[in-house]
Amino acid sequence: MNQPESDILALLQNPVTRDSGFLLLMNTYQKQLYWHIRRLVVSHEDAEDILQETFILVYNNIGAFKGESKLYTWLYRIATNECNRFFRHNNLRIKNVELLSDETPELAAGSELEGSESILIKFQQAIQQLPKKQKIVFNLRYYDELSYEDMEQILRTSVGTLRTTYHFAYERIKKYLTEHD
Amino acid sequence: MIEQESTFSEIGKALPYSAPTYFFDGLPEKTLLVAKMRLEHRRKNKRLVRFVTLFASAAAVLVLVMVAPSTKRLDNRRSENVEAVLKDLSNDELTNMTVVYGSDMMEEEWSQEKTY
Repeated sequence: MNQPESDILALLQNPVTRDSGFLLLMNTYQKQLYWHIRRLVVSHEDAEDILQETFILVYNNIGAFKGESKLYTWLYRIATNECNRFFRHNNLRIKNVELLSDETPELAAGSELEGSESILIKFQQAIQQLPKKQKIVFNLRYYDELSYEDMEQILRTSVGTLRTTYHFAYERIKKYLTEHD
Repeated sequence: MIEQESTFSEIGKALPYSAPTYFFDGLPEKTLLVAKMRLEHRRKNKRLVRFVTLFASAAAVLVLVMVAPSTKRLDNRRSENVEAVLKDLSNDELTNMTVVYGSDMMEEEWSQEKTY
């Protein structure tokens, strides 16, 4: 069972227990954040780098966390900002779709894909062709099942805008899957 | 339930790629080590910048102290040059200068020196 956020925070904010608090924090959230990042950047190597940068930023800036949001929404916010920074330096909007071939050898080899594999890849291609903001919102809602209120804290965007963004993303994915069936 | 989920229910949440086996093992310890190394590196850089700033300030003060007496020597040399020029002027020329400037230039300069 996961340690409550307040316990982890207390350990992190005490200089004596900061390191053990950090290890506990990472053990609790590393997989969640890794997959959030990986779904955006696709490449494992890039996701690994961004994940590490995210947690290093957390370690060095824990004093800046004032408890105005939940700890995990703060973590998601840092991870998402790092992904955005990565996107700015690497124009990956189209490349991410190509990266899917690197990450799924079956697709690259052009081999006959089983039905379930094929639909998974097509689904990811549909998501990767979304504008960046729609992709982030869709992933947070669909895969991480975050509430719009939590997403509001992560993305500093109103709930209404987030709902609309998710709706547009959903329709675009549906359209892509229909056209590429 | 997430709205509109039924349309993608057959797809679910699986991904067509995975993380390397054992990737997450030891990752927190490795990340902590890198975080501490970066922090130490930043602290060392800050100390270096502080040292260089102090050294530069001290050097600037030293230069100012050394230059200050020579400024006075420069002023003395300038007065000597003016003296040499005035010595060669005729009485008529000196009178004309007095009319134009309305006062004894040297007197003005001497009175300024006194205020120092």
